[in-house]
Amino acid sequence: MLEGMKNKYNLSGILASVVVVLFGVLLLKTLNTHMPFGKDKMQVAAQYVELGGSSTGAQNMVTSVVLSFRALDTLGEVTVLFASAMAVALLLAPGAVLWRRKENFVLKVAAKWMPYLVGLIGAYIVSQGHLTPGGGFQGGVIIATGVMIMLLLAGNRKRNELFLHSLEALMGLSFITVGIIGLIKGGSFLYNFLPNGKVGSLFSAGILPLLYIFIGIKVASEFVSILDRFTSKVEKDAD
Amino acid sequence: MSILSLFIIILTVVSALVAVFSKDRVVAVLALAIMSIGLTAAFYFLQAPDVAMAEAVVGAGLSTGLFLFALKKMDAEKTKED
Repeated sequence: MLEGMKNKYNLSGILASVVVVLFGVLLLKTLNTHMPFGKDKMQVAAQYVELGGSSTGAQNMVTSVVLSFRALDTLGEVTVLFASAMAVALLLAPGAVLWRRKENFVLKVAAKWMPYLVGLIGAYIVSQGHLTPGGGFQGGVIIATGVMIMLLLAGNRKRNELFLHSLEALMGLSFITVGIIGLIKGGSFLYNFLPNGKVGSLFSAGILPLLYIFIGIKVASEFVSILDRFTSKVEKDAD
Repeated sequence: MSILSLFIIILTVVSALVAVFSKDRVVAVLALAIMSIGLTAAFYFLQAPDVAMAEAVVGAGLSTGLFLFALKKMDAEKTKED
């Protein structure tokens, strides 16, 4: 950052910023001619809003788009997260605990009870994903945050990496299995083969809550493994 | 524009600037978290509770912790080399 500040006013910097501004203006102009500001960009979006509640049975409109109309994209999203977790695992080897905190009373009490409460909130948000705002991703991250509080005070911890990774793999497999069952039963991948039920009740919206539970646990285990790698020190130097 | 939305905008922009120009890394990370809280409020008042929740959880919660862990790890590796 400091070196960038030093060569702030040289020629290449000015040229680069001119090119960036020109490119931005061109991009805006092109976008504005093809999609005028304030108009609908896609015809599909209007249909999503129109059919969202009635065809999927989900009260939360966002969930109906994310998990029903665009479920394949969600699978891709989860895969991207998996790839990033793998990259972290590749870069940071597991080892002993990086640092040990002094026994602070507030932290000690909080670390004893907070993870369970935070995990409960996370589980609630995962299970109510088709009814209220939130869902598998947000709830999974909340669960991982609960584990993060636990890691703050981790002394000599035992990690069970096999459990964590097999849980994650199992959830990914379950997601795809549900998709394939839909393919067999309804003729399209991730077809909603369960009954829609009454809109607004917990057991409604067909396979959507099921998918959100899978996503929630997968995201939580991925983030926990990332956090674990970040809080452990490298045993021996790479070179 | 109401006073509340003005406050949210000023909070977000100022904390983003602090995050960019601060010399202390910990201050920068915490300013980033405050910016996320401002963005969360903005998303909520723009009637996007789903996005607001994701921003709060990821921006203010997990990524702050990850950054702090990474800073701690950097310090530990540095002291080991010396």
